[in-house]
Amino acid sequence: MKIRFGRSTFVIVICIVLGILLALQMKGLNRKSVTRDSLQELQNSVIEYQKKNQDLDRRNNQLHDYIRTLENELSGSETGALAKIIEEKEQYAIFAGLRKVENDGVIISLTSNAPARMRDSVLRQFVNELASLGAQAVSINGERKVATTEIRANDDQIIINGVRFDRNDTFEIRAIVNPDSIDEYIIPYLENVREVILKELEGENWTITIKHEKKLVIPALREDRIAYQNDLLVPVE
Amino acid sequence: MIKNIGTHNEVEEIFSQYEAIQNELNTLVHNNESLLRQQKTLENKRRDLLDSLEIKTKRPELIQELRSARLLAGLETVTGIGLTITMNDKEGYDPLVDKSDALIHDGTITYIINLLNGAGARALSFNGTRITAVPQIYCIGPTILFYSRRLAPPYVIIAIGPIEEMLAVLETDRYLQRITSNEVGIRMEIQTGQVVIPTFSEYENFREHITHLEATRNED
Repeated sequence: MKIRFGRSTFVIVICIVLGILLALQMKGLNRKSVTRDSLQELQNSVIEYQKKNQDLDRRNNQLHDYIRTLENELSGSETGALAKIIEEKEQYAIFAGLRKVENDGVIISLTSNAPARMRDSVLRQFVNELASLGAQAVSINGERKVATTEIRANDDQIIINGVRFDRNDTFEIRAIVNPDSIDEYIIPYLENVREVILKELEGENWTITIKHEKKLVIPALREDRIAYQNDLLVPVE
Repeated sequence: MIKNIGTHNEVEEIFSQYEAIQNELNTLVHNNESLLRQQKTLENKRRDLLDSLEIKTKRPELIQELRSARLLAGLETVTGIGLTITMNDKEGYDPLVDKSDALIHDGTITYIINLLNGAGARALSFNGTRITAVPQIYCIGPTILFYSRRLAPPYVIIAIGPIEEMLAVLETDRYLQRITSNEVGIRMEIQTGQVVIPTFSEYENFREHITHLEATRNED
């Protein structure tokens, strides 16, 4: 009985010692797995969250002010709510692409000469590049790009927002971007994109021009377009 | 195993810096969660106040327009029937052996979004962030940057819309068939059902993305 108790105690002690050694080993491994790169990555996350929190804080303060105006309107002590609601609605509509907008931007004209035809992938590539360059509004042949816009080829046509365009026509992409970086950065970048695309299309006869346009106007999404529909969406309270 | 790190002291110093920054990040993440909760409360209060104001009865079209603009702008969390598409790079991707197609690129994501839009999607999100009118999606090394968020696989696209049409377009698309074939190896899984798509303002301030836009009169 005594021997069995002694053995059990011995096994328990060994297990504890092994556990401690394992924990120390793991700690050592954790330390060794930290590199300058992972430290930099962590610092980047800190900067990202700092910015996010600042933005959220600003937005919450704006909401506080807005709510105060609505409350004052409700209590009858102020009548500014209507103007605030209209202003808010307009900001949403601009962001959604429901308003015609204007500012400096770029126009990309694309012509594919027969037998070549316009490719949806080329249009999408330019639109994606413009988005990554921080474009705030984009249209293709007068069709405003919104969250649910499709750009796809179907036989002899390119369909954008449900509207059909002949693939032999010239296509025009318009984008409003940061006016301060158009000449120095955006146009040279797009010219590089053009060179890459033309190289891929070698053997086909394409003309792609890119220009800086002052007071460029981009139309609103038309109300009869499919992208205007929100019938399948239920707001979550 | 350890890059750029020489002595034991240096390892200790970097580790202690790491711990301090990790603590700072934990606090920031905690604050972020609390700010998001606060934002939700304020948004609900705003909605309740709008409902109780006389403007609602005097100018019902204004409140309707406001709601519609919020929905189309992607500034309202929405729910509906839709698809959840989960994508992963080829299992055990080896840059020396595998084609670059075996990795998911920004173009793969925008291609799928375009297909879903063509099939009538009404709202979409990519790894938890709402797709907007001009979504900034681009590759940085092996990861994808979506607005300020750096994303790594699995990539998840959620779309609310007509399920049959959206499924059909994904299943019959030749490019997707090719990249998900055994030869290329991209992994794609599609689920159907009730989904929730978050508001864009959960991660970003939309006002920063309209700073260069001046609204003009619509004459036509």
